[in-house]
Amino acid sequence: MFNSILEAPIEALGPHAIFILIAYGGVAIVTLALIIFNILAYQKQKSRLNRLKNNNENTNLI
Amino acid sequence: MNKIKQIAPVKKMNWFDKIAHPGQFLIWSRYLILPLIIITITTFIIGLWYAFFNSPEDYQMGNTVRIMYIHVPTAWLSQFIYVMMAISSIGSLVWRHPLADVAMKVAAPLGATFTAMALFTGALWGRPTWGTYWEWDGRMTSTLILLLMYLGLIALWRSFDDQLRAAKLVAIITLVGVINIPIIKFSVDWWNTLHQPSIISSKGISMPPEIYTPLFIMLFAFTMLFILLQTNAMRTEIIRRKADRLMRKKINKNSGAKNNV
Repeated sequence: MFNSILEAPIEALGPHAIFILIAYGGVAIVTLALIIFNILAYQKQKSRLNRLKNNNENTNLI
Repeated sequence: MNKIKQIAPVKKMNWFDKIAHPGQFLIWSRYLILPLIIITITTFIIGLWYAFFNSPEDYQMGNTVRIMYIHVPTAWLSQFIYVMMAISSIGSLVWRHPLADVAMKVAAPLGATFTAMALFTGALWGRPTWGTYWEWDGRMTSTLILLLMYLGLIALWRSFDDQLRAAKLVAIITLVGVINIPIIKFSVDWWNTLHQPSIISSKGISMPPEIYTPLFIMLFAFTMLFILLQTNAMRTEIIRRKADRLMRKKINKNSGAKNNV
């Protein structure tokens, strides 16, 4: 199945297609990882701040 | 006689102080994220469509020229981010601006990633074009040094608990390291190298519009991606520092209460 997906671009891109596909694939994977890491880090800190704020409010109430 | 207290006049915040204050930055940068996402995705779609379906093969390199559309933008970002870090270093050292520290800190991992991508795509472009993945020439060696510098700066940030001291040291080292940027830029003119010379010079652009159009679109797309990631990472770092402050406050409060008991 994987071979059949890659067959068309390899044929279209010629003898050095593998280099082009690895370059684009590598950059795409790293970029996606960067974006996901960026979002997850934001969510983690945001929920940490909210948790601390809530705890603080509860402590003040007591 | 009543003593008249002399109160120092309160310095009015100018527009720069207002937008560069970390708290203010958190507010206004929130409205930047969505437009940046839309611009980045749109320019990437247009750029990739041009790169694969609307640009010709090179008469010598054939289809491998398409690697240029990701190699040049990542290489450009690797240097652009370092220059941005150097400017932030000045802001941190001269004006001791907290937002400059934040910008400098979060840019280093992004710079390291884009430099690694530039080296990776360059190696993959070099193999079919020059017959080798790597050559110890001026451009490649100085870019490898740039990657090592980024990694060193990240390690330095992580080795200090006191972020203010870390910021000072990192800022000085970043400013010293900025000498590497003109070396990377002019290495292809100063030394004999396999690497091709700059495509943009005082004589103009040394390639046809069918090739430089997708290249410039991809340059813009990658730059927008960096601005998006940098803005979000800065927001994350400001929130992290806020949470740390709150945590310290809570610990101090708790230890104070225990001492009173």
